Amino acid sequence: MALTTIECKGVVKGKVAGKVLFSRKPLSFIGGVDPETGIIQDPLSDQYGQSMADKILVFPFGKGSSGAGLVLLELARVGKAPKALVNLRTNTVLLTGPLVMREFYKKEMPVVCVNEAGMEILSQAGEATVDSTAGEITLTA
Amino acid sequence: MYLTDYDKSLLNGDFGEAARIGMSILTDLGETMGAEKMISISMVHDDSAWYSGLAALEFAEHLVDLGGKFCVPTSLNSCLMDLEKWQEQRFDPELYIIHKRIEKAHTSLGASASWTCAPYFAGFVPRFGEQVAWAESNATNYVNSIIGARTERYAGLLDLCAGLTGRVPYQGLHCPENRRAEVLIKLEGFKEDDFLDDAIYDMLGYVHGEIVGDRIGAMEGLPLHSKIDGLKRFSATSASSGGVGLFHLIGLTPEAQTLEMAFHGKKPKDVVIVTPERLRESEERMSNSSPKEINMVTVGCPHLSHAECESLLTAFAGRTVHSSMEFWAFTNRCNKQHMEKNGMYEALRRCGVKIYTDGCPMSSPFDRWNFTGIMSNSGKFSTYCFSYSGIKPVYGSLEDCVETAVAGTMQRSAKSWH
Repeated sequence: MALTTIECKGVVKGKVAGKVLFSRKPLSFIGGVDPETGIIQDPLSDQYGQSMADKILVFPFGKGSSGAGLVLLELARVGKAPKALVNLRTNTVLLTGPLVMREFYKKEMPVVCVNEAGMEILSQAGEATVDSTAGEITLTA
Repeated sequence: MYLTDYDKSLLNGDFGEAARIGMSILTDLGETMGAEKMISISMVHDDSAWYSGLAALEFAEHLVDLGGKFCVPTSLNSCLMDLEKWQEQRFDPELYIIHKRIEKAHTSLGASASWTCAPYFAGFVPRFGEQVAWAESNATNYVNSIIGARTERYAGLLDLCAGLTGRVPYQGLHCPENRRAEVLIKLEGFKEDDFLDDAIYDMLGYVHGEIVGDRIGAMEGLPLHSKIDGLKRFSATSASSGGVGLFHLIGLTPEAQTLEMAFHGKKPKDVVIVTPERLRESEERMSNSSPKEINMVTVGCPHLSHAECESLLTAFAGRTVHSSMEFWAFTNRCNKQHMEKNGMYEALRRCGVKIYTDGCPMSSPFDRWNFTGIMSNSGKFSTYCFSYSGIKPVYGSLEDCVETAVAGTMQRSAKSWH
């Protein structure tokens, strides 16, 4: 099968591969994600009950509380963080987690942004490699 | 990104390792967001004391160990529990011990132990146009939209970096050009009297957040005499249903006295009409329409103002909370002191109201404490409660909350949008 490659804009550096967890809806981390397990517990999320641990987490943008960074840093501490964030639009609140964990825990969580068409392709993706530096997401399954 | 000599010396560690870490994270943020320079901020609201695991505490303690000190006035956001009445609230001692560590770390860095999510009701109020770094979604929304100061939507952890350095990247909502509204929301079919009940501000805030998502909206049609408590509720609820850091209420928001000002002279990209029916639909998503019973009523999310506590006392009219019920009211420490002096604290206590400070009702594991049905007058609480506790609460006005608590069964008055 030919590999599908999606262009993306690298925001936070890094290259990782993993299973894709795709949410069509915006996501709130505080209250919406269990910081001990990485399980999405926002009842309005279309991925309610799914774990983001070790996944390429794809969602359009963050919503809700500004505590997202606290949850992402805690997920990094307990080893349940997503491998990468893929968004339509990112923001300061979401970037806090990856930026602080790089400085404090020396852990990388690349963040990239894609366009609407890229999101649609990712909605069907099983596994992907995110290369923030090259600005590419490659679907591997 | 252009860095001043001061920025470079911060990055170089000349002001200590803690300030270097803070500056390193902030300049990374600036680079990733394409900021042209760093700017000074004059205040910080610190939301990193919110316990969601040990990571944030370890980070704060690390900064203390490195000798870190905040260089601007810093207020502290609410934590999970009342630090004096945590046992009455039924919190575990282990969690209390962690909170004492959190308190020590943040006050050692120089934060005031204000412990409130509404610092603007506790003496921490910037001026119009002032550049600040506030975290906590309701607080950032309020300070941008109601006061007209300028903050990006800071997250817990970045607030610490801003406090240690007094600097932030000039990007996002710090820049006037990024504060332009894109979506116009027009109210239609509402009457002047509909705005007398603060509850409508929660509903309008909820709908606003749903419509705009992470864009900036402008709402036209709110009365110019809207009270500050209603505007607080709009801020809190719109920040929970959407990714809202700034909204324009035409005629109320300082920088949006006219549509022209809100849209910077340009045309809205999108116009949405909101009718009472839209509020009804949204309330169905926000509120539990068929609870089994109610045995907990909680108000004060965000923390109650002095005026709201007065309304609460008026609503009780000397009656008391039913024996099958708990009634929890959350406020800040300053207001509690005022109420102790003027007799309101004792009067509310005699009605059976338990008044808590410091903590946030959202953080209470009500399900573990065997509460099965909750009513709240907070759109923000209603949005988050289910994912925190597995209980979908009933939304009610402050008066509904009091009537329910007195009767011991759910009481909801018809609203203008029903």
